Amino acid sequence: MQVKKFAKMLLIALPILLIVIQILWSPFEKPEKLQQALRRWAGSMETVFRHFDFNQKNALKQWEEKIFSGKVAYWVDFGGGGGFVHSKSENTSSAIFRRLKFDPKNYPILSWKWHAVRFPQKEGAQDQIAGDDFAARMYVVFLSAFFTNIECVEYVWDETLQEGTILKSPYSDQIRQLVVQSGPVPEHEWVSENRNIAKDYELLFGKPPERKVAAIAIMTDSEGTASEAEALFDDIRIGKDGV
Amino acid sequence: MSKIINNRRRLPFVNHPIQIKYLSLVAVAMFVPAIVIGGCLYYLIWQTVAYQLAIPELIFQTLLPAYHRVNAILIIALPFVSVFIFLLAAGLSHRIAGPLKRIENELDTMIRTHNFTHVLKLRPGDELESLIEKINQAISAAQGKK
Repeated sequence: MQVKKFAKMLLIALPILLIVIQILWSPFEKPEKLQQALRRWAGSMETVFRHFDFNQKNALKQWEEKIFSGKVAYWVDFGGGGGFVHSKSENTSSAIFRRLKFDPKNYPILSWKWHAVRFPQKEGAQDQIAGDDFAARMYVVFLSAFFTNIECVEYVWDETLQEGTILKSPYSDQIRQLVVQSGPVPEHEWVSENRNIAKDYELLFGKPPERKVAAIAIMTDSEGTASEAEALFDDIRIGKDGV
Repeated sequence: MSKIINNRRRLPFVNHPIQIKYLSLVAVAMFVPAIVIGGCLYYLIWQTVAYQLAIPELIFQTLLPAYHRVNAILIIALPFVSVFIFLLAAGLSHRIAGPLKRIENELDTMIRTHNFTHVLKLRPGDELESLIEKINQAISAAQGKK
């Protein structure tokens, strides 16, 4: 009788134990789609939609890269206790991006830390394309029913342009750039940004965002000026409130 | 069964309501699937490529010029394709409407002139061959009974 009781208890306890082990420690990578589904399900309760701290060596594994003109080196670097993304462009231009889908009305705050190590040399920039080189920029890409209506907000760090300057991309009127940092900062000094995507979109496009965000991206480029640029990015966070 | 040799119709149109009906049917059967499938492919291809490119600058720099070029080619080519489809539809519908009109005319003449020795003839490529054959057989049989 005792053995039967023990067997019954084991049948109930064992699956529970396995689930707990699976939650606390999993040798396998958690399926991204399941995570996304759970996030969507629990979306209304969540304060932070995503947080990329880049503290793991393979933190860029799920980030995709797109090359415009030559490959910019993006890698996870470690120093000062944590990881961060280090980007280095030598007359090249490419971006890394992460596909996400969220409503900027629900998660309006995008925050991150960055540091422009070296700026592209724009002194002799002849055209708008050359002027479109930035040491560091953060993209917020908005979904559209057809690709011709795609819209994008870019936060850029420029060496000379004043903070708050609004620029239009030389490639399209639908890409608006906002200078959020200007000039160099002391070495090893991280600058924190806390932007309200919905408000910035309204500022740049003159209307509130109607569509969801499809992706965020970071980029360092210097191909327009045929120079070099270098930057660091860390703690990218999308949420309801600022940090 | 008799056939009219080397006597093709110059215009693929006859003054008969059935041709308008068949012309519309054939044209719709060609245009609607072409527009639906073409439209879906058009949307799917551009959206898929844009999705893969992902970065707006890249999309506007590389994909948009290709999109404008394709649209320009389509604007020039579509009227020609439409005319071609219309003429094809007219030709196909005429293969049915043409012999029908002929049967009607021939039967009208027979009734009017009481001359039932006449043999119905087809033009090359016309449909309804077996029907005309049966009508001719029926006329011959009726003549034999007399």
